[in-house]
Amino acid sequence: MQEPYVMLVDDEEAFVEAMTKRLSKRDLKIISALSGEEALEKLDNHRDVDVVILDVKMPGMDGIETLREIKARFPLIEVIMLTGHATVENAVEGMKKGAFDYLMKPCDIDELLKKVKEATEKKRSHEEKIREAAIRNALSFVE
Amino acid sequence: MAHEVHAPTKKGILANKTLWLCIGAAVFVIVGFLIPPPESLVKIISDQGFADQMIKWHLAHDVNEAARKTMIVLGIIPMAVIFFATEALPIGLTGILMPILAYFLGLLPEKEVGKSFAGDAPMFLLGVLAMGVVVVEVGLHKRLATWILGWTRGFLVPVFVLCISMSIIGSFISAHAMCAFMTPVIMAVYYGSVLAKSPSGQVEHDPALAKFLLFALCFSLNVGGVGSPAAGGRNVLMMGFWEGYKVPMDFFTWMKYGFPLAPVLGLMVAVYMLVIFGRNIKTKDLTPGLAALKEETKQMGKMKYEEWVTLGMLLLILLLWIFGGHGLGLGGPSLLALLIPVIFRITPWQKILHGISWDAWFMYCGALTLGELLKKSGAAMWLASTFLDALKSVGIGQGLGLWIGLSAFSGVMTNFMSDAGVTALLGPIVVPMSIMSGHPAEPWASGLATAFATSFAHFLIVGTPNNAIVYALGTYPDTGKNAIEPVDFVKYGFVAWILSLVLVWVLGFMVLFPLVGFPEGLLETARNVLMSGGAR
Repeated sequence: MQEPYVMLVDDEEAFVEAMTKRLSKRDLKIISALSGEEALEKLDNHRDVDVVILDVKMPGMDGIETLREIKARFPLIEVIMLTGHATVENAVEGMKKGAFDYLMKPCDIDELLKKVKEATEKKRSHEEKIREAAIRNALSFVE
Repeated sequence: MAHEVHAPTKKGILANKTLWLCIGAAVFVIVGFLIPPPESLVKIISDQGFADQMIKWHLAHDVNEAARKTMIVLGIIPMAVIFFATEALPIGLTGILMPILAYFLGLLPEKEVGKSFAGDAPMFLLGVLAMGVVVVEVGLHKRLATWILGWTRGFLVPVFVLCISMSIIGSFISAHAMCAFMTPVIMAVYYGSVLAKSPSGQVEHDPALAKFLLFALCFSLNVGGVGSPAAGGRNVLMMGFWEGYKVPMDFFTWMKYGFPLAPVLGLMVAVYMLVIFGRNIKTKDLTPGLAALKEETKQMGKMKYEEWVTLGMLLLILLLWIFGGHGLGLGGPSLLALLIPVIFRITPWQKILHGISWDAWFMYCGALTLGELLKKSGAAMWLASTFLDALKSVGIGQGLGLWIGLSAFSGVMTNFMSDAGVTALLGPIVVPMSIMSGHPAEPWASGLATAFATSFAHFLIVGTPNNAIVYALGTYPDTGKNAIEPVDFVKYGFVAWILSLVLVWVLGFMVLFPLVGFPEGLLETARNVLMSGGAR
């Protein structure tokens, strides 16, 4: 499988930098954003992102609102919520709103990678099904 | 990523289907019931026996009533043009309208209506449509793409391989499905190539390369339509019209005239694209983009049972078409494409049923009925003699001049409406017209000239589904924006259209026609049918 393309969204810059370094070493292509608004702006020009790792608790546009916007505008992109103990309920709410899964902070890197891989496979499988549907649809075109 | 294929929707007045339904119906009523039959038409149908035949069939009591019936048939033509171009009715329903009008307005005896709606051509088409479904279901199209491009590297090699292979493939299997599959593949090759050249984290797009690759794919698949009858229903329609004049052409004979043109046209597309875009393309190495395709080839592994059976079936059907002889026709071998996948359990019957475009099939059958209506009513002969007189007055009434004129006209029309629609409307007129021109290569030569040009719908996005597909699915993976604009088809497609026509005129009409030759007695046989009027 081609390397997953992941966006990391968290308002803590130090956390984002550290995670970016760690995940890049594990053959992931990473871009980052420090807010929900920045994430949406970047996704507009990076629609080939497979998975967004999204912090639940952020100032301004929080994780749930960002998730809602991502699902509305980029429905195929999968989202993994990152949550602290105090915000587990939010993560569960996120799952109901279409998030792929959630992880508690601090998260085990191997566990995160496993979920990123599963989410990427799901996203690419959906894209493949859409491509196949377009091909089947093309068979019905009258020349 | 674009999820669905939508051609730019008709806007404004063109989108008003009810309006065009009414306009089409009004034109039909005016021509069919209100305009008096011209003297020349009455003369033809009475002198050539069409009126007598209609009286014998109890469709008319006298020549005047027979002439009125012929006018009704003539009225169907502009109505069909309007309905095909605007889709005021679904295309398949426009096809079904033909036998409906034939029954209710007494234009043909009931047995003739049924016969006209079926026959070898529709059976052939049914099989070809089923073949497309099976190839896609088992994924053989993916295997083909990886075989074709997976080994290439650099820039020129993949480009030439793409154009020539797509023109050849487009001669035999559904070009539309291949286009829908290859467009995202091409964009992935594009993206991988520009990404490799971009500074890290910052994709620098190369719009010229994207357009270059997409148009190369699209136009190559378009021009493949000349290669064999299996390329498209429009070719089969023309063969059906020839059959009506007792001069059927078999599969291999068409290939002798058309198949040598396909790769040359593909080559022309490649060279033209390089000339137009070459200087503006910044990324001149596609190897990084092709690497992903190579990876996919490895992951696909060995060919599966379903793929082997499908490949075997395609080869068997092709061999039977070429060597099976007249007894099998084209329909016989084609129908195996419905039987073999089910018996060998590679595609369920329901998938085949649901995958076949019944819209297309009804349209083709209806087109054959319209052809029969035009022929048996004398409308085709009247139109043919009228047009031929006009063409003779400008010196292109026979031979090369006629073929060039017909292909140019058909080539223009095919950009505005469906290829099969063009053939359906022109075929019944071109065939008698070409017979009357008296050239020994007729009616095959003019029919081929007309049919070949319907594969050159390059310069309008609505010209052919391939154009709509590359427009809709040809999006940049990161931004989702379309790499092509509708006006690009006019900019780049118009010259490609001219070049395609000129190549067919020179290589097809001036080289292949004399080289392959035409059978003795072709014209005489067809002329006998034409002169016997409505009796046959």
